Amino acid sequence: MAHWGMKISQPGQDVLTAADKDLVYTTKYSGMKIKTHNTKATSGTVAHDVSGYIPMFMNFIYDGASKYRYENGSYYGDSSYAGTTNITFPNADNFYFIFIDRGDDS
Amino acid sequence: MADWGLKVSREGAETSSTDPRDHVLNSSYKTFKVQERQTTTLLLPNGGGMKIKTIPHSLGYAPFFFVMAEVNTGKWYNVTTLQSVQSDLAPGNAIYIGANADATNLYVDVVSYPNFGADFTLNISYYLAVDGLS
Repeated sequence: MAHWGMKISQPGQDVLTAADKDLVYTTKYSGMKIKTHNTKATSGTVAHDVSGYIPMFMNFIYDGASKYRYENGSYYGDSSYAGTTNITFPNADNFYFIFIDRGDDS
Repeated sequence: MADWGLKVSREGAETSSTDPRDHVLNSSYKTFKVQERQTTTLLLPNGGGMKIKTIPHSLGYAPFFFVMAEVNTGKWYNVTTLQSVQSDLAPGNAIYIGANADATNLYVDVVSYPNFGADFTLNISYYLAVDGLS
């Protein structure tokens, strides 16, 4: 297969010589692709609707004082996790992202 | 240099929108450039303690990273930041686990784990971005 793709450089940088890390975009690497960005006010489960694997996810928690914290079990007591069907949230006031990208090791 | 670029809007939005959240791709903003997902394991010997998984990379700078780990069997946690996870194998006890990176390695730190009653193999899945933290 021929070597082809697309690169976009930052203003003032030559797209032909810029390091990969300095590029705005390159088809050489994938980005994280968000499947769902939503909220869950109470603890419980949400179906991630990804079949065949366990997806990557991130969760932030609203602390009631206009601040959002990256969920950290040390602060909240326990942490959310992904299984084959659901994301389980042990805490309330969740603001979560579920990615298309795989989170497990299969 | 001329002011030019590329915008791709999400379905239902216009590329002329001034809200960059309407754009799937907007060359005014850098995107995370993620290398392929990798997997590894870390053996946590019976008895409790601490263990570190050192994962070499060749980027030469500390990269942005995402790390997931199967801390309890069948349950995958985002351990990119330090997490306290209640152990299914040792009820009432927590496992403290997180990740960090430097210019040479990605580290998955099991800062503390309880006595599971048997060896436990921690499964790990991680992404390294080409984008640097510094």
